[in-house]
Formats: sequence, structure tokens, C-alpha cells
Amino acid sequence: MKLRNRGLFSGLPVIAGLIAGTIGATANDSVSKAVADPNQWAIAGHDYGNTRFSPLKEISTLNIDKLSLAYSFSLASLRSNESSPVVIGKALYVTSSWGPQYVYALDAATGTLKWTYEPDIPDDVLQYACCDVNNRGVSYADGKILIGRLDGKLTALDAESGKELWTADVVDYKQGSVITSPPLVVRDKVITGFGGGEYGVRGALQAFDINTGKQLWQTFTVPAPGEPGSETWKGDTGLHGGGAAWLVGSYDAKTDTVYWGTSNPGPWNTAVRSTGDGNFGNLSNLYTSSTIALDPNTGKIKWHIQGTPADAWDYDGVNELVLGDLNIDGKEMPALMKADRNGFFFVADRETGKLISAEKYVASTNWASKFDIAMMRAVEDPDKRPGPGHPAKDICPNVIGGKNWQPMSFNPDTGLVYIPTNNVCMDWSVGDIAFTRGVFYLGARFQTKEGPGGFLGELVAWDPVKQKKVWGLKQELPFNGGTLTTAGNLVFYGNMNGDFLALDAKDGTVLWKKQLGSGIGAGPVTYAVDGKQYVAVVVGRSASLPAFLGEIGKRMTAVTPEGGALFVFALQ
Amino acid sequence: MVNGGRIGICRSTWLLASILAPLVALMLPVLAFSAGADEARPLRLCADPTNLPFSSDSPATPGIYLEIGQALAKALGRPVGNYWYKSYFGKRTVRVTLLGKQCDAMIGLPPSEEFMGPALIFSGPIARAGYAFVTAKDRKISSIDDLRTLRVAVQYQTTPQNLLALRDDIEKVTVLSPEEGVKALAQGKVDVAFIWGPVAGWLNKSEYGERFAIQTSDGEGLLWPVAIGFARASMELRDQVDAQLPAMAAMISEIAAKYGLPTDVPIKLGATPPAVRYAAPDNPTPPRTLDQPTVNVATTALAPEKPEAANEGRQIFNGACAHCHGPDAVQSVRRIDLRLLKKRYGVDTRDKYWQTVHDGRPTKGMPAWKDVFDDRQLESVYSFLMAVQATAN
Repeated sequence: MKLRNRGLFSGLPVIAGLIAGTIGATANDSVSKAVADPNQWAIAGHDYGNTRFSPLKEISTLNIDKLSLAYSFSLASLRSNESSPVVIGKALYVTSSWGPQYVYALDAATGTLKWTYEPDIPDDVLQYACCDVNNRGVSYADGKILIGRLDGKLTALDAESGKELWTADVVDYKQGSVITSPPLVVRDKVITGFGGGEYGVRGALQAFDINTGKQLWQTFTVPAPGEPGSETWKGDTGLHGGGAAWLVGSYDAKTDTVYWGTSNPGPWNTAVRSTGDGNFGNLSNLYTSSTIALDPNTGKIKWHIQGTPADAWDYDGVNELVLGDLNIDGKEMPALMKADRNGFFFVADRETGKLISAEKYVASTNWASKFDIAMMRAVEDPDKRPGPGHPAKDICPNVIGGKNWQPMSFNPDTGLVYIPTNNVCMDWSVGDIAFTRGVFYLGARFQTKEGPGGFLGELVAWDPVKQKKVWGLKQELPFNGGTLTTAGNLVFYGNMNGDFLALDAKDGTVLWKKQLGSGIGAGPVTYAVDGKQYVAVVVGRSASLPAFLGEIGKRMTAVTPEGGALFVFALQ
Repeated sequence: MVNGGRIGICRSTWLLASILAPLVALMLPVLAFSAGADEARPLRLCADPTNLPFSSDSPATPGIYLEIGQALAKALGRPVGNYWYKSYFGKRTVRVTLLGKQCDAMIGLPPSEEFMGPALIFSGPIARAGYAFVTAKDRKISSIDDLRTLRVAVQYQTTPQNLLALRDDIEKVTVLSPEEGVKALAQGKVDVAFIWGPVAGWLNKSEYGERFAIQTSDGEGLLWPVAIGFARASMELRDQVDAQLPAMAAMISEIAAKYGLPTDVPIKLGATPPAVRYAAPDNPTPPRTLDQPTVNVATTALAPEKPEAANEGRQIFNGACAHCHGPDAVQSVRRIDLRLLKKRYGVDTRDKYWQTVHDGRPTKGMPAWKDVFDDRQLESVYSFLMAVQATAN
């Protein structure tokens, strides 16, 4: 907060405006054009603002009962299939899990295979990936398909032929850093982060030249000793402080700004990097568990919002930033929205970084009573902050957060955000014996507990202006799939039980439902080919996440087998 | 829960070693028979191919664990098979390899209920491993206070890092590996490296011409016994291995010395002040002493505030009996599930209990406990067991 006020940003919108003006309001022309075509699904999150809203409305509340299978396609790879397909013209691009093991280009209308690309992923990658061998899809720009890989590499393919154009080294996966999310392309820059916040890495975003794969800039998400912001860390701890930006970025062409969320700080023991209690003063561990705004030309950080200062709960701040224009107090406001892991829904002015509101979107959230916008600090419950000599009980949300990576969607027609939420709590103590490479150490334990109310997940329709829940659909398990919303007044949503549902976007009535055989984590997408609208979703439940969740995890794995398939639906 | 149970377990493994000696004689005929049946099957060891001094796929330096494994296999009359797997993510490694039935044993695990709970069982301890102060030979560190004003390398997310976290008078330098710590010391970037002793010992011997002094530390989360881990179903193999270990002690020491494993007397860093102790057990436990032979498990396993008999019994049970009968007597093998005592023996339960714990059932592997616990303590274990008897079918 101090830093945010201290400098840079008051003058920046002007500079940013100039840049945007000289280069043109469009980012990458091919991406902007692709996004502007309502028939396409050009980015994993649909558009630069990650809204997952499609203006297509052939399929609507009026005819949804006629939705039936157009085709399905086997991804030939099991566990944690989390890919959002991308559709450009008549081609659908989808990845499998394991690296990805495969990238496929299909005829989007028929499912006919056009080409397959099999990256050379080392066999030992599972031994380094902390949280499963997933892949969340590709990016498209300038006739190229771009893929982040579990082995820490970034690959560009020719979209037409599937031929590899270049592969760049982003990070050494052997330090526990893997890439699971598609990069963000702004003009000639392919921007990506990587994971590994738990293993002592220092988070960073990097930009690569789209034509050559050459690195253009690298920005660490945690300042080195002596740099501005380093005073928020004890000693040299920031150099291994985490803050990994492992999920997807967003982009606003008007101010030429890239937004990304960062992971939790490390290590677990807050006394190592901060004070160990809630009176951490300046030691808030910037820019971890934060939203950061960057200049895509240089990578320079413009401003930040830290959602969980001096995190002690593994509340990553990585969740996607959804950009939309909200009518607040009678004025159209360029907003940035985040359903944070920590249970608070943040709305900020995306042009200035000023926080507008932060309210609990998961009712059981109890680590803080509220988020004080003036102070930019959560008003914490001291009993719920684990620290040295202070294990904490019944903390909500637990480590998977009020919402995990599964993407939400924003429908400008209803003004609502559709969030796949979790209602899971935890006890946190440190003292378990762990070992790594022959070294024993004290690990943290987070005993998972069910949240109150007899449900573990809920699809929440959230009004970001009134800051309240409008409707909800409770789920028996947590970690359910992402959402898609359309101008047909629909929300599409898959759950851990393998059910794929269509709901009325206004009131949450379930209008259509189909069992797809394995748990769903991915967000559905929609597109049209030759005037016919399709809805596509990847199924294949997470295999390693349940291992973190004890008894609840056992239920998650018992309810469906592993899977790996793309299902595509259309009106009969 | 971190309670007396952990201490008890560590002690019980030491205890077992002494109890095993007489037992071994009784078990020999059984062992010989099993060994014969297993002869053709290799003893498969899960190991990391690039993790010296512990294990390596280089035939010239197989590492401490694999050399011990080879010796063990020889003693059991079986060839050795290795299953290679990188061990970056410890518990997952164990799940995927040992519990995934890719191998029969994994050498080098901490023999504690808290390490992967009932899924794993352990041999008696074969060595000891802990964090150590690595310094130039003319510097002596015997307490945390001796580190004052010094630059100290600590490994990320380890007990030493936690211990020094609130000591503003000590300058910490974070490193990700023992290698990085020793390097910082050699380059003069730090005065002391408070890092994982076995790796420091190996590096000191293999790369630094033994120019550094290594002082092993002791205290909560600093020093552990090292044992061989097995899947719970491999109880028979575990017992065979335990029977061989006493005779192999000298050989194991030789192997350890060859790889520079520190053999010094650990210095106790004392009870960690509450302000610094990150792990807060539900019941405070005194720091464990591993090198002190233990006769009476109960005196230290007991919480100071005189718990009820069943609670005391539970602590003793988890310390001495859980090794075979499961933590809190939760045991899925019916034969040794003590929650079924009442169903099995009915009105004779009490007599059967006293007879068995006093005299043991040597042919079945149950030691005699009458010289280890007094009757009051054994009575409390009985109270605990009665509290957990199965009621329904």
C-alpha cells in the first residue's frame, strides 16, 4: 500500500496513454481481430479481459433442452485435464494433461483431427511438478499456437500445420517450477509466468519475442534487497519468497496494461519473512498474494493491490483478473475483478489501481472480519492466523481457497459474475516431519475440514456492484469446474461429480444436465461455425489435488474415475 | 497431533533393538524358512539415482543407503534390485514408489508415526541424521548464542531457519540446498552454515578436503533416527530385516564413515524458547534424547499434568505398542487388532492381557514387557485398550 501510494502510479496513466496512442489501441492485431469475431473463442478466457462471456445466443434458455452431443474426442491422456479450447475460424485447438502430452487441432464442427503435436516432455516431470500434471490450454496470435509446458519451456507452433517454430527456456523445472497456463500475447510479446511458490523460487514474469522466442524482458514479482518494496521482507528472504505468477494474465488495451496475480509467499513460517503474527507492520512481503499491473513494453510494475498481506494461509493471489465495465454510483467504471483465494471479492479501478470494494463472496470466510480499503489491510482475527507457537483451528477458507484456478465468468447483460466457489476449512499447524532429497524438515499440516452448511462447493452468482450473492447452486464436493456465460442468458458449469449443467443466468434454474463420466475442472467454451453454435468442455478430474484434502479428497476420487475427453454439444 | 507418541516411537525402536536380540534366536527357524521361499526374488530398493551421500546409480559410489541395502540383501540371501526415482517431493516419492509396490523397502526414512502414519512401518534405526553447524576448523559453535553477529547460512523451510527466524542479532543467508550452504561458507559469504549434516559431511569429504568442522545439533526437529521404511503389508520382511540389523551395526558404521556421515556427539540446543518454536504441539514435550539408552518409556512419554489412566495408557501404547498394533490401536490386520480383545476373549480378556504383556508371545513376535513397564503403567494401557474396544460387529 505504502509503495502503491509512494510513487509511480500517479503519472503513469498519462504515459501509458501515450504508448497506447502511438502504437494504437489494439494489442496484437491478430488477437484483437480474433477476439472481435463473436463466432470465435480466441483466448482461453475468451478475450483479453478473461470474461468468458460470449455474445452468441443461438443456444438460449428457450431451446436449451434440445442441446445434444455433436461429437466427442479422446485426449488420450488421463488425470487433470483442465484445458480451455481455443477456436479460430473452423479450427479448435485443445491440449491434454501431462505436459501437455498432446496438442490437437480439430475441425471445430466435426471433431475431425487436423494435426497432433507431441512436445518432448521429459519423463521425470511429475517428480518435480507440485500440484499435478495439468495444462490449461494454448494461446493464439499471428497464425501461431503458443504453449506453456510443464518442463518450463514455451513453444510456438504454426497454427495451420502444427509444425514447431521455436521453443524457449523459461525456467528450470527441476527447481519445482512448471508452466501450466497459456501465455498472454500483447503485440510481439508472449508473456508467461511459472509456478513453484512452495519451493523457494522467486516469482517472475517474462516476455518472449513471438517471432524468435528470444527473451525480451523479465520482471521479478518480489524485489531484491535494496529495491523498492524489499523493506517488506526480513533480510534476504525475498530472494526465495515465492510470489509465482502461475495462472493467466489479462490485458487492457486502453491503458496498455497487463494484469497478473501472484502466489503466496514462502516459506510457511511467517516469522522467517515477517513478524510471525498479525502485527507485521511493513513486513507484508510484496508483491506476493497480490494483483500486479505491468507495462507490457518493459515489464515495469505500475501498481499493485495486495489481497493477503504477509500471507500465513497459503492464500495465493493468482486467480484471474476479469476486466469489465461496471456502473458504480451512476458512473461507468473500468473495473478489474478478482475472486481471491482468501474469500474476498475485489473490485478495483483497473486504470488507477484504486480498490473500490472487497467483500466476502464465501460466507464462511473467517480469517478476517473485513478488508479495510482505506488501510489496504484485512482486519484479521488473531486466533485464525497461524504462527510460531500458534497453530490455528477452523480457518476458512482452506488452502484451496474460496475459489481456486477454475475460471469465473462475467456476463455484462446480467451484470453478474459466476464463481465456482469452495466451502472448505482447515486447521493449520506446523510440526509434521517431511523429507525432500534425504533431508528431513518440519512441514506444515493443514487438516481439511468441511465448511459449515452441509455443502463443500457452490456456484455463486455474484453482483460485483451491490457486492452480494444473487443466487447459488450448492455442490456436494469442492474444486468444481470453471464457468461460461452467454448472451443466451445461460451459464455453463461442470462439477467434480462429472455433471455438465446449463443454468438460467438470471436466477440459477438448472435447465439442462448431462453426466460426462469424469470430474470436470475446466471451463466450458462456446463458438459458432457456419452459423451453428457449439458448446465445448474438457473433462478429466484432478488426481493430485484430492491428495491434499484427506477424507474429502477420497470422496472426490471415489465419485468418478480419471478421464480425458472433449465433449462438444449443439442444438439438435 | 504432536504428543508423547512420537517420542515413544523413537524410543521404542531403540528399545526394540535390545529386545530383538533374544527374540532373534526364537524366530530363527521361521526366518530361515521365509528366506528360502524368497530366495529367487530380489530385494527391491527404491532409491534416488542422484542423491549422494545417500544413494546413487554410480556403481563406484552407490551411497550409504544402497550399500546398507546390498549388505542386507546379502544377509537375507537375496539379490538386490533398484527402482530409481527422484526424491524431490518426499512423501509423494514414498507414495509412488514404496506404497506403489515398485519396491520392497526404502532406506533412509524417519521412523515416526508422524511420517506417513499407518501406511508405513519401519525397521529399527540404522543411523542418525540431523542439522549441523559447519564452520572453519578454528570456530566452535555450541549454542545458538554462539551465532550472534555471525552470518549464518540456513536452508529454506527447515528447522534451522525457523529457529533463527526471530534472532535479529544473527544475519541469516537463505540457501536452497546444503551444497549452496557449504559453497557460501567456502567463498567466505557466511561464517557458519547451519545445514543438513549428512550432505555437509559428504561434501566436506569429497569436495572440500575435510577442511570444515561439523558439529551436529540436537533438539526438536533437528536430529532424527534413520530407518528402513516398508509398506505396512511387508511386516514379515521388516521383521526379517530387524533380525539382521544388530549383527550389521559395525558394518553400517563403516559404510557411514566412508561417506563422511558425521559421527560426533550432537549438542543439544536446549528447549526452544516458546517465542521461537514454530511447531506448537498440543501437549508440550521435552526435547528428545536419542543417544541415551531408554529403559522406562513412560516417564518421558507422560504429560506432566497427570492425565487420567486411559490417557496415560494411550501415550504408552502409542510409544511402545503402536509400532505393531497401530496408532491408537487402529489396526486393520485382525490378528493383531487389539480392539477385538473383548470380542475374542470375553470374560478372560483381563487375564489374557496380563499374561501376554508380562511374558510376551515370543513365537509370534510379541515381546515380554514386565521388565520395561511397571504394573501401574501396564494397567493404564489396559484402561486405554478397554476404552477402544469394538462394540458392534
